[in-house]
Amino acid sequence: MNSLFVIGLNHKFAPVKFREKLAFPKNDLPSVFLHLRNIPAIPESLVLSTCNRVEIYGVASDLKAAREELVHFLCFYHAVEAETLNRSIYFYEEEAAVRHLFRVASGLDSMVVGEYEILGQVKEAYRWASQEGNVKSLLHQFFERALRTAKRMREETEIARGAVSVSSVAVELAEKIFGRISQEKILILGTGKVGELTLKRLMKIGTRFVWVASRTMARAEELARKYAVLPIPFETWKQYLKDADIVISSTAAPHPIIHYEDVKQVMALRKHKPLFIIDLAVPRDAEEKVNTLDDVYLYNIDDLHTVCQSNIKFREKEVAKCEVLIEKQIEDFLRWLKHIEAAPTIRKLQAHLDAIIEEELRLAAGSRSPKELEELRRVLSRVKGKLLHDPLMKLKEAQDHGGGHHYHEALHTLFDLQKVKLSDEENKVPDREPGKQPGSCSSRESAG
Amino acid sequence: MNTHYIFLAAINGFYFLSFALFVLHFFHGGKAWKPWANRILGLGFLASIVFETVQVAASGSLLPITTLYQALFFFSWCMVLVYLLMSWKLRLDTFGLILLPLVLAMSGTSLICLKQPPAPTYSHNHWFLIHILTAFLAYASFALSFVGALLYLAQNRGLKSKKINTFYHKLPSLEALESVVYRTMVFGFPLLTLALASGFFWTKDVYGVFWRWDPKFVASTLTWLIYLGILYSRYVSLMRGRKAVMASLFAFFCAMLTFLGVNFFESNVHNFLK
Repeated sequence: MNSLFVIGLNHKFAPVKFREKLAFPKNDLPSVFLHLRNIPAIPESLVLSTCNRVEIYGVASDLKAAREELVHFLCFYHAVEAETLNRSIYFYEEEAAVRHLFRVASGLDSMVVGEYEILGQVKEAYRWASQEGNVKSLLHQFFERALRTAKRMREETEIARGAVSVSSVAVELAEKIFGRISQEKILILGTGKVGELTLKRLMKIGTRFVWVASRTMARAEELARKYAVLPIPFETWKQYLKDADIVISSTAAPHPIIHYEDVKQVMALRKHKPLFIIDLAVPRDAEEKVNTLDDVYLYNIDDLHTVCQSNIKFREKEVAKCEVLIEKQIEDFLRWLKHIEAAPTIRKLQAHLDAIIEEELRLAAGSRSPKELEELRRVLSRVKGKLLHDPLMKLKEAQDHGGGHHYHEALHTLFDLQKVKLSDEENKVPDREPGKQPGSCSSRESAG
Repeated sequence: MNTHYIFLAAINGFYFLSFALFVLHFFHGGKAWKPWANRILGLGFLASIVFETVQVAASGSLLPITTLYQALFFFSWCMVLVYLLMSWKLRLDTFGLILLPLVLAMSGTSLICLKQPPAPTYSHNHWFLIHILTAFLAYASFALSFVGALLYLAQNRGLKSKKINTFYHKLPSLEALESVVYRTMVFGFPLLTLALASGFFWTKDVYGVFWRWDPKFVASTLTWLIYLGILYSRYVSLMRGRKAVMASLFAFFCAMLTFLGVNFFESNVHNFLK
């Protein structure tokens, strides 16, 4: 019987240096899938390679052999020692593998809990493996369930609430003040890295009116060229305060340059249009008192860090809710898997009885007309159905409660089912949701 | 009276259930509660329409608002109507959290005042009908504006104090909230103007003069002037942000004083408490 497994390494078990070494670049994936398809022990496989994890999901009947083959493949492909690899990798089977993927897709196993990109990355990995023909019915069901679980979690819990990096918190705050950022004007004082990152994020969501001032005009011009914005001489920045909505300040000035009195005057001129000051400088560029003015919102680097921490803590609290939801989904999926396990035995038993009926009909054919034979076939089929009904119901019940293997063994021994051969069509894993295409779980994320 | 009581209790039940769902949506997270909160509010609203229709049919008057209970109930109905109308255009996700307690207060109080005997009605006069309808809808719009103002102040306080909590995450942006405060006033002001004008014409019909030195007349005119002042200063960008929102709170306080408070003074024509 085929079982699910995952082999891999992630940010928890391997440093970035090693993860980089084991990562599969996007362009190499077709050859990787080809290699995997050529391993007979693994009929289905899927590669998930992101900056935080490299994992191969698969299906195998002999899990030990599958593990050995994959360790060998990874060592060969990335030219690493098996000993080094074995120190960092994990290998989860069946329920543990299911739990792992459900947690990964939902962002619970991410470096930043609840992060958004991983769902898109899982989706993309699934799509690629499907296109290459490495995913068949079992992995298809497995990933569809994982994606659906992740989607439900985002809808039913608040695991992804709040930004968790300084620049994204600054952008989120700006959106809480101004709504959708589009026409807001930005004044950049100084050319610090975080300031530039914040500008980049703000420009990505729509703003285009930006002035850049730096004590070194050349640096202001360089930044202005990079983002197609307007450089201004540093000494003139106060004139722009009247029109700017967001000020991102990260100068190296030893004393505050944004004074309470200046902002107070400007606010009167602005007719109390809100002003958001993001002070990323250490020592600080804006006097703390500025925040006491109506419609002025001043956040320094510590404030932004505090918001990050508060959002991270909140997400961690939501993890418990997510785990409950995931456990339910795992239970549901495992139940489905158990039914799948029972299916070949049931089909073999039916095929065995069908063969007996056909044999008896063949013997009776000489003395009966075709009409009588057809009637006899119907009667025998009804008898077969009635005879099998109760035992099969009991078998399914036993599957749900974990005792199905005794029944399987008994049926195999009593009816000698080992000898019964099924056709390819009969061997196929039944898909509970026919018609679903790989990656059809709708989500807005794209692969990161 | 007994049927009235059951009907009113059922409507209040819908509103309360809707409020509970808004609370769940706000504090418990998850998106599943909100559509149900709105649906149940809609059911309460439809039940109110049926109730009002029965009232109209029973009284034979187009606008049976002669007792405090009827006035409060009709006002609560107007608030829900304006909320539902506005939610087509504006994002009012969290408004139910404050609006529904107000609706419940009005609609619930109407249950207590159910046995009050009716005052004489003037519903045969078309100026009176216009006056009542427009005044109630105007006050309901200002109530929504009031809710927006409270939410604005909550969000503003969170942003100023840098306390990032559920309010910060769940409430809309300051810009969106200010816009609701302003737009609901813009919606309500012409209605208030019409209410005032039709009130003058009705006075002319009944008393032969346009103006009477009645507390309600004075208070309504003052309220109208306050709203005019706020809208004008917002229009010419004289006042924005927190100050504008505070002014709208003051204006709503005046509007409520005009609507209910004046009843405690001597007024000849608007006293529901008598």
